[in-house]
Amino acid sequence: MTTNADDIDVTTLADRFTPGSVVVDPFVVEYFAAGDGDPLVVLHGAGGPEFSIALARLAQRFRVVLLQIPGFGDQVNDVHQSLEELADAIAHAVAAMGIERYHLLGTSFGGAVAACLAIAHPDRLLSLVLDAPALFRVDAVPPAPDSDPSELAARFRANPDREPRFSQPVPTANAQQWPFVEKLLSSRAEYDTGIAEKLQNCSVRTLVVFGDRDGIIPPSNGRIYRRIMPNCALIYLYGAAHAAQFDRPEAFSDVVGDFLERGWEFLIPHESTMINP
Amino acid sequence: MKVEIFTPVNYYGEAASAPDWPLPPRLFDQEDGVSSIARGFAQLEAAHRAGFDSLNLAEHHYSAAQMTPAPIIFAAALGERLPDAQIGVLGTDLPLHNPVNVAEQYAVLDNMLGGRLRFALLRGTPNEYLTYGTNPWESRERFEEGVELIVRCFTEPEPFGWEGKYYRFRNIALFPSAVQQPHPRITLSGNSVSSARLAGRLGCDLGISFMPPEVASATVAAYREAAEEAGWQPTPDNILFRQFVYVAETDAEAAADVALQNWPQGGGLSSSGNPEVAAVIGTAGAAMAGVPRGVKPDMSKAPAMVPGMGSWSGSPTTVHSKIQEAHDLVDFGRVEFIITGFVDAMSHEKVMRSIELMGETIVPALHADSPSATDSERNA
Repeated sequence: MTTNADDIDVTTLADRFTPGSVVVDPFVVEYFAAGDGDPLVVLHGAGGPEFSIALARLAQRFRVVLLQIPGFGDQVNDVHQSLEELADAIAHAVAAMGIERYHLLGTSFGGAVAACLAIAHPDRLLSLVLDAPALFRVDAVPPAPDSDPSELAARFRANPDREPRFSQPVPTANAQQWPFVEKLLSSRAEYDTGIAEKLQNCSVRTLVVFGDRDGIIPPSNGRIYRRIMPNCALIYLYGAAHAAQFDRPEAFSDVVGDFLERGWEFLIPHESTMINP
Repeated sequence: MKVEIFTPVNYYGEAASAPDWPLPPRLFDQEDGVSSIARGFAQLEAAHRAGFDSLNLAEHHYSAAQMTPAPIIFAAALGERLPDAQIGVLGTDLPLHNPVNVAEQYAVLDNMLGGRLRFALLRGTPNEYLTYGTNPWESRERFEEGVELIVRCFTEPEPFGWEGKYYRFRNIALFPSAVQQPHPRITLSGNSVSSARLAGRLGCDLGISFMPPEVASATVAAYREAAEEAGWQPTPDNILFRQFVYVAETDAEAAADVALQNWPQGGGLSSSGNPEVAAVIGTAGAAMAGVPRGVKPDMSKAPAMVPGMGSWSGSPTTVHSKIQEAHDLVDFGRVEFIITGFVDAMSHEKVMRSIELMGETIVPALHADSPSATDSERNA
């Protein structure tokens, strides 16, 4: 399915999503929902929830529910000490929304959480999309509060002119969120053999997407998932960096939407190639 | 009768027994790869010495079963090694490719081989629709238009355009053209009545793969009927019958060799170890057979073409009589042997010994059986 992204006004992306919240003690988990169809729960990266053209396009096919992970926004998260604990809390939050089974899309840090959720609750997932996931980070160069802004932008975005443009991290938010992210991620080896073993037994249908110019997590990390997970596809998005949803939103939403809708049948095109009858 | 060999160019290495498709490239061992290619050449060269009438290759993808995803390259090299051998590429998975480029490649190859080329245009196996992003539901229509476009490329003396249903080229000129005029002999599949009729209508050869002879006789009848409607009369030489064949000195020895590595299936798969992917391959197969999208296929109507089924193995005498039985039902003038099996099904040494033994026994016996029409008779 290909729609013209120009239909989507980037200045009003947030308006497309309806805010809501659910209580998972001790947190009030906020979420932003748009669209109809099978639920697609979205876990954001370390920068917090972001509205993208890609998500707006996916909301034309699915009920997109973008969760704000506890520890982001105004809330400090001293409760969860591991990715697994956080993943469990998110699974509870989604269940509290009345969503029993859903597609799950996790970006970067959110991808690491999503993978843990898939390991713990495979029966709840229709399928899993890991967008530049940070679970395995072999040779990764994580962003730091003192990173040079232009260099950081280039590592996130290969197509910096594409709207919405890259937002530099907000120092006040960083002060709260990055230690939390670092605590959960840096406590794991860049290649965590324990979690790799668990993923070997995770048969959730999974798509791993990496921008081929990802400057944060080398896209070669994508091979790990493809190799060890029994039901996993790997796609490189050409001309995209770490924020692939923003660099190439049409391509991202096409391949992800196809995978969610058609599963492995996304390997064969179903659109007619007839020029004229 | 003519006797041809189809060598898939198996990969001989540890990965050959990996039960998966597509096979991950990390499993490819470079030394094994180079030696496997050398073995493929050795098998074909041995077959040439043994008197086989044509040395044939085919296109398949992402598998240890065949190291010829681009068989035209292999055919060109083989032609250099064996300057007097007839070479067949049987064939190209046409719906996966640009037909004009396919015609160009075969035209160049025919020039390189000095007119020793035959080729087949096929629709490929279902898994191959999961390679280049080809719509399997349109497979037949795309294929038929592609075949006609290729024939047009070879026969049109002036630059021309093609405004098809599936292909649009506004400027085509096949230069170089083929040495063999109007074009090398083209084989189309005879594994269904509709494809056999297409071959007859377009004046092409008919290739039957692995079908029970009693079933194949119906498609051959359809082929002959369509040819007659088109104003020509196929000879047995226009009909090729492909089967897995293994010969050893005695029936007992052949049976032991076959049992050892589960010949011809061997250890590899042309399907996926992931059941969800395997199901999609099944969907592609059903789509190729004309089952509409979203409709569950009726497997009782699946074509009776199962590779490995009905394969011929035994002593030369036993195999010869099996071929004669098939020939009595299907009046083919060319029989094509696949000796290796799929993958990891027979050692290279035993394949070489079988080829040598065939050259001493069954090849001359089949040559003496029912002389088939020559190319000149067919063209006349």
